[in-house]
Amino acid sequence: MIPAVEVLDVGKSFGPFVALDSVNLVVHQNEFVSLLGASGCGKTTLLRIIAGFESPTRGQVKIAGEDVTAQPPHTRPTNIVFQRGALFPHMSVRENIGYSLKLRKWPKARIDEQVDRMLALVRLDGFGDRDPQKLSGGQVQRVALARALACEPRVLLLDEPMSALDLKLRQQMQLELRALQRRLGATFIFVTHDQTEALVMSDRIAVMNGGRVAQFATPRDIYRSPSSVFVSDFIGQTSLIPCEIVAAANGIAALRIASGAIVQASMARGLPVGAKAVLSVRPESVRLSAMTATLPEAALTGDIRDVIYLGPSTRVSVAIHPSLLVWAELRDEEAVGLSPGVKVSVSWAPEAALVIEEGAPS
Amino acid sequence: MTAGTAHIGMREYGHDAREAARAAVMLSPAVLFYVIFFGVPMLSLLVLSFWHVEGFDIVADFTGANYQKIASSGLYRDILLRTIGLGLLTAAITVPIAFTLSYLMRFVFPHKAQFILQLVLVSLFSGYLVRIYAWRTILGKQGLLNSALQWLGAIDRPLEYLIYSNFAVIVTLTGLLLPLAVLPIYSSMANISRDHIEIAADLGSRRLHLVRTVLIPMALPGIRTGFAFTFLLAAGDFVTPSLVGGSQSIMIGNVIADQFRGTGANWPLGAALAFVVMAAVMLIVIVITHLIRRVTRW
Repeated sequence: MIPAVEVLDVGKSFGPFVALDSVNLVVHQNEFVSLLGASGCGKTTLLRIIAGFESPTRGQVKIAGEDVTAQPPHTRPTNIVFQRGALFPHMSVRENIGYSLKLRKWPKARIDEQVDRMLALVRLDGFGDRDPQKLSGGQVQRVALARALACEPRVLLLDEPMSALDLKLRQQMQLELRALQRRLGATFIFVTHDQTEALVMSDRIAVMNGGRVAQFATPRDIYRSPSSVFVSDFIGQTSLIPCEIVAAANGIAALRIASGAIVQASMARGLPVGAKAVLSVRPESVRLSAMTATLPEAALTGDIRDVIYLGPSTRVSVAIHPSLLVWAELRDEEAVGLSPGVKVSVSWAPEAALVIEEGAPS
Repeated sequence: MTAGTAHIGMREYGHDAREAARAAVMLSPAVLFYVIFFGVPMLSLLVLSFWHVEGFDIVADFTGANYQKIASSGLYRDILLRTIGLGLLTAAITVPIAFTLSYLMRFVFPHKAQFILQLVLVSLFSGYLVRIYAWRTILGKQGLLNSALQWLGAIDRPLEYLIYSNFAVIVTLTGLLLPLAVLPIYSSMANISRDHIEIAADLGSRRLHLVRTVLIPMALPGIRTGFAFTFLLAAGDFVTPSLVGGSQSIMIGNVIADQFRGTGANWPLGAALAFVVMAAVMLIVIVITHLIRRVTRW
């Protein structure tokens, strides 16, 4: 199948500032892809290049196999939704949604039919004759979505369309948008700085950093097997511990950390013994237990620094070395008796922790 | 703060009767000012227009004679029509220039917009008569324009119609009134964001279609105000035609002014003329703004 969108070696500079540095990205048809990154990482620039609002300094953009690099926005089979709906205030909701259809000279009856379909799609039946100024923030974004979808673009581009909404509404709309995309069977490219949003909605996430794609993979792979220290740190919470490889077998490595303790973690890439690396372990994988006299010498121990109650869980930080903190996320009953200053031993299942090459491209 | 949020605030105001009452109290000084300094003089002028002149005295009675005289006079009608024509032409030239300038300031040179706006305002400070005379030095027979054209060899002798003509009146009025059109149009363009333009383009609109379906409708309040300013002030002007206009440039403002000064003064007739002009001009403003809305309706 021809990919929906191909971004081939795209670069973009604004004067001396490099916004995008050789981005490659192939988005399949009917896929929901998020471009995730902090502000300034180039995600919006990339989206605007796909939309046609910016032209790349180098590289190529293909949509459904066709090279559209030189095409203006209005001839591309893409439509965009912005952070703030930008509805046309002088038109009713119905006229806003039908704007592109009237422009394409659809007959009136067909426009009405399509607009009604779009209103139903975004669950705003009966809102057609409203004045955009009388809509709530969530409704505005739904209308903007309906307007962008009305002429049935191959690819829908979304530039942080929910970041202006409050949390509850945002969570609800995330699920709706996901369901909508499945139902339509369209390709969505979604820009966000909110990792939860990206994890909830995406088939695949492109984590961006410094104008590059750091990793492009499924949410599970991004979370479980981050390809670099940056991705591991950016997605979810993690403790990053510098270490040195002392032995490796069957994908499990033994590592020495600064305190001298020996710990184990899984290692996807075969790094040589003696190599410096970074160990990444998620808080939910870390186990804490009270100190016993029978611990082996090389066991990992530390003093509890902070105990943070979060409701469903409790987050505990343990200083395993003067400057090294490991975070653990525990269920309530596991956290009983843990308070700052208490000495504990720290452990995790080797397959739940990951060795990442120190110099891995971020 | 955008005009949009102010709008919402106003609407919420209206919901609460007590708030509305308080708003009325707070507005009353402005209303009082308006009544004293606008309402009363207008009313006295209206009364005056039904009086008449005998010899050199104004006689207070109630007669429609002034209005009859205006209605039956072909001369007044011709001058009134010419005034309206010149006013419309001036507005029709000034508003698009102001619109273009506002667009450039808002979207093409946004970082220079403040500077341009200052320039526009400075031209307002420099005084009305001074600016008319400035145009005389530009358009005159030995003026800047003619000299330049001659020096370039484009013409052999000075162009006569540059000064003391309807052309001169329109150019001068456009120059005088441009700031008054730029200010409202530019400020109403603040409501249009780049997002609106990009979305329209993304949905398939471009160039004139985008201007017609998005830019003009969204800037319409400013365009309407700008149009009304330029048309009303151009149609009411009498200094410009008398300084740069020719024999065919007498406007109704000159005729009205003559009724209030000099030997042939006839205040009641002048007042009646003023009201006829006001009615005609207001009617035209209403019709035109309505037409603009119709044409640009999506």
